[in-house]
Amino acid sequence: MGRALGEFEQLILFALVDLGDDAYGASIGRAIERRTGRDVTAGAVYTALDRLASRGYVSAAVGEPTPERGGRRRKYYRLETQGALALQRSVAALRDMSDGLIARLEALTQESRA
Amino acid sequence: MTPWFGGGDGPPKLAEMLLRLVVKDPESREGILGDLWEEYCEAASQRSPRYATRWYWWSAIRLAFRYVTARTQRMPLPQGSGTVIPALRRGGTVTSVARDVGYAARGLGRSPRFSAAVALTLGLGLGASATIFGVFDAVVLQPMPFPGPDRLVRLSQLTPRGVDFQVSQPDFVDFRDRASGLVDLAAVQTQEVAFESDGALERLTAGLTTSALFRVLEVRPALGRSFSEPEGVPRAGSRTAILSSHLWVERFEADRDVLGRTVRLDDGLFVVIGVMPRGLELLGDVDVWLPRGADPLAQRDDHRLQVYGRLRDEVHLLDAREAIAAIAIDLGESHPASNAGWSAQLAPLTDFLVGAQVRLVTVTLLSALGLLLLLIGANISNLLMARTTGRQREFGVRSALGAGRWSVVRLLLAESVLLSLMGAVAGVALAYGLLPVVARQPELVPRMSDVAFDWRVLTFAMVASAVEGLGIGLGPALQSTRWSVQRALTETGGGTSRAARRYRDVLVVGQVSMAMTLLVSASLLVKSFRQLQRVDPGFRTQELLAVEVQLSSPGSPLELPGRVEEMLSNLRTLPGVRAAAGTSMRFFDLSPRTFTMLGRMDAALDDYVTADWRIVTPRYFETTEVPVRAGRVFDDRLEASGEAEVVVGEALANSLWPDEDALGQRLRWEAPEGIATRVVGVVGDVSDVHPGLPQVASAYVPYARVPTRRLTLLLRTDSPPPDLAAAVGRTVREVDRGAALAELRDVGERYVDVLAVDRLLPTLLAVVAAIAVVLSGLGVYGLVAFTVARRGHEIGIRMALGGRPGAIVAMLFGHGVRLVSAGVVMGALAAAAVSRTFASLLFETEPTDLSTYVGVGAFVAVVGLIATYVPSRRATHVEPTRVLPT
Repeated sequence: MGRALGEFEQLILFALVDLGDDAYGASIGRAIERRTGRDVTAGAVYTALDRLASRGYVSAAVGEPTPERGGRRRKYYRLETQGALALQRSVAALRDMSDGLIARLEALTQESRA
Repeated sequence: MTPWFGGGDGPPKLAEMLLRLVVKDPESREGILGDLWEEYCEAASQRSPRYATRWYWWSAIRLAFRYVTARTQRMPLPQGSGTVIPALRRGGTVTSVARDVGYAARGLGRSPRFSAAVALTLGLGLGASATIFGVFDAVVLQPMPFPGPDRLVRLSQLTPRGVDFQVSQPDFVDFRDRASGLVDLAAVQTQEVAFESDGALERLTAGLTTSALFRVLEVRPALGRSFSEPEGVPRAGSRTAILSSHLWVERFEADRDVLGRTVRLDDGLFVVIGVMPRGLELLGDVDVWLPRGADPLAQRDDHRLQVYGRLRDEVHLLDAREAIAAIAIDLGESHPASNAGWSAQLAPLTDFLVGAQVRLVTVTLLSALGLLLLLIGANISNLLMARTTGRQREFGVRSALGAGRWSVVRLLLAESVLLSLMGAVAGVALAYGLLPVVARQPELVPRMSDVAFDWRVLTFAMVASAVEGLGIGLGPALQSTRWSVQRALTETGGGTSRAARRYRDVLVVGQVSMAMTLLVSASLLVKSFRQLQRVDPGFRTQELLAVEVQLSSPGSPLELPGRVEEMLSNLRTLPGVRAAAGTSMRFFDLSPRTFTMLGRMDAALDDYVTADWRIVTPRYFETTEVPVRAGRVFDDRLEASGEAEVVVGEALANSLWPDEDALGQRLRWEAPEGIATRVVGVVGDVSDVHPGLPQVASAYVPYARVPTRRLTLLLRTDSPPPDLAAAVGRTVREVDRGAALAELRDVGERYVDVLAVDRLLPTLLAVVAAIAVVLSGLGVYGLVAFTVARRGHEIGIRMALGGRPGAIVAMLFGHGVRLVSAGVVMGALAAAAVSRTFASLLFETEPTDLSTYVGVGAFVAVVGLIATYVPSRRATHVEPTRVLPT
């Protein structure tokens, strides 16, 4: 078992779940942006994907070149079983830890706003 | 912009190259480049290509940064500082250079604030220089956008006194038919036309020319065809027009179907037959080109054609010039009345378009920035040497463990090159941001809109930074070759070689003298600008509004004065308007004007003086508040009857009648047989074109005598309502429905604008000089502070042996004073030499203005002395017990 997943890595793995067979750098970035509204830089996505690949959580395959990419091939990413398990563990840990605490957390943030 | 930086079909190529360099794995590389391409296209179509290009650069730089840092993290870490040795033994040159750079980067990373300060200082200097270079390159160095630009010439005629005039129509025909060394000559005459668009009339500048212009410039219409009308057909018969490229874009949405459409200009319809290529705007602000027919009535003394020619390939400019001069002499003999004593000249077209002044301004600025770069280099070199001295132990250890001297030198050079590269990145970013801003100031310099960030600017920045990098590395490298390992490891303090010390002294003297030179130059230019501002324009420019109008064609010119008077009296009733008048003058407009020759009744042509003449309506002097010195000005009677009257400026009165009263005298226009007029009034002289121009004699004639369709309406206002412009337009059109109006403008603001160019150089140089003084002050401070630190040991011994602190301070201070005064004297000498080169930019200021030299010298000396004194004082705080081994 490796080191725990970082938050951004979790986002990326979820994006892979969401996109299925259509996950490549740009679509992953867009998926995160769409769901979280965060501004995602390409550099962060690629280095995180490299890291995840080196840990065996994701694998990559190369597709066909297309004209709208200046004739370059797409590098597609797929979630490996290892990665899916890691994501599951990390979500489970978060869920267990947050169980029953969300309401109190919200109360705290309400207070600080008031 | 080039596809290298963006603006091509795809993403900026240079940014892609950067990514290719950084991402090693080919599959990832392809994936990343493809992804970014996709996103780029999306951004370009949804936002704008500009935005997409910026986005791409931003993403590429951040990505590259991430990849580089990710890799160095994975680099095997050296154990301790002695790892230079395995680095040298293992691997080829490439890996060892990479390692040098890696160690240098890590070394700089240990003092991030020092590195950032150095890189930013360098970046500032490089960025400013690259920006000015970009302007210089586009405005002065780049050839004109015509084939064979060095063969293009401008023909002008010279008065017997050598004043440059445009060419008259009959003379042009003679020159064209007889000049053998030229491919062809083409004439352009500009005039104002009213252009109807969306029901309103607008004033445009028309360029009247023939197809010869295309042959001379070797350009073709970007669209359609050129004029085919044979020369000599009167204009009325040839109703065709070629649009300028900007008019085509702005008014016709760059519609290719514009050919064959008709446009209404003045009172006629013109068929659009073509669109001019870009680049012709260099020849002047022409909106629309019309065929020029020969005017059979054109006079030989009516000089209004701008003439361009192209030299034949085998002909040298000097030979062509001689041939032209010979024709001019012939013309003088065959037409003595108009051409006696006149000459003609051919000048390269670039000289005419760019102008000596613009060239001089940019060269001056560029030299100033070169000096600043040198100064920055000296400063940083000094800092690096101090840093190197502090690291002697480190180098001693490295050497003791077997690192060769060469490897230490290489490490130091790698550090300075890396610093200058960081500076280059900052500088390029600065130039990239500044150049588009500069290009949006087209009124400052012709061709300014061509200014852009391109590979030439990039090359300049890179070469400058490479030179700078080697330059700043020189000192530390020199220093490091001189010390011995043993001394470095055993000695506690000193250990800098005599040569290195002398080198640092030279650097400080150099810095002070460069700061002195820059500050003297800047002060001279600022003083000159102050003098310029002090010039009294001779009338009150505040609260004066001007609008240029073109009246519709009258049945007879005699209708015009009445029409104008009606307009003016209606304008006077508008709220906020106190007085109104009309004139032929365009205030603070540097475009060519028409002059005339005036002389006493009995004078020979040689004694005629060149005068600037204006047509004015009654109440002109009241409106502008030009003071009446003697006699009277034109009154409200509009009848052009009786003897022609003229009002003259004081300068003209004094030069024609130095010892007599000018009132009641008669003067002749243009030639001994020209019309005579009687002087009825003398008024103050005005400087209404540019305060720096020598005041020209001026004469005023009443509008009733010379009614023109084009004139400037002037309004003297107090607290004008915001909708005054609209009210003026309405009032003018009530009287003349076909009148075309330009924008209503504030004459006071025009006056400020016309000085913008003159303000530019002093302002920029003042900034450069201020930076230089601060830097040189820091340089002196750093040197003395370093000396105190280095000689702490020695000072401690002196104090322990009873040395008085005052004597020690005096010793240190004395050294600083010697360096500063040497710098001030050398700087003053250099400034005296340098200021001569830009003397022609100075207005009523001598390049050797003593008070400036003394003042600036004192200031620099005081700054230098403070920078010396403060750290010398610190020597007295040295405590012997702390610096001496116990």
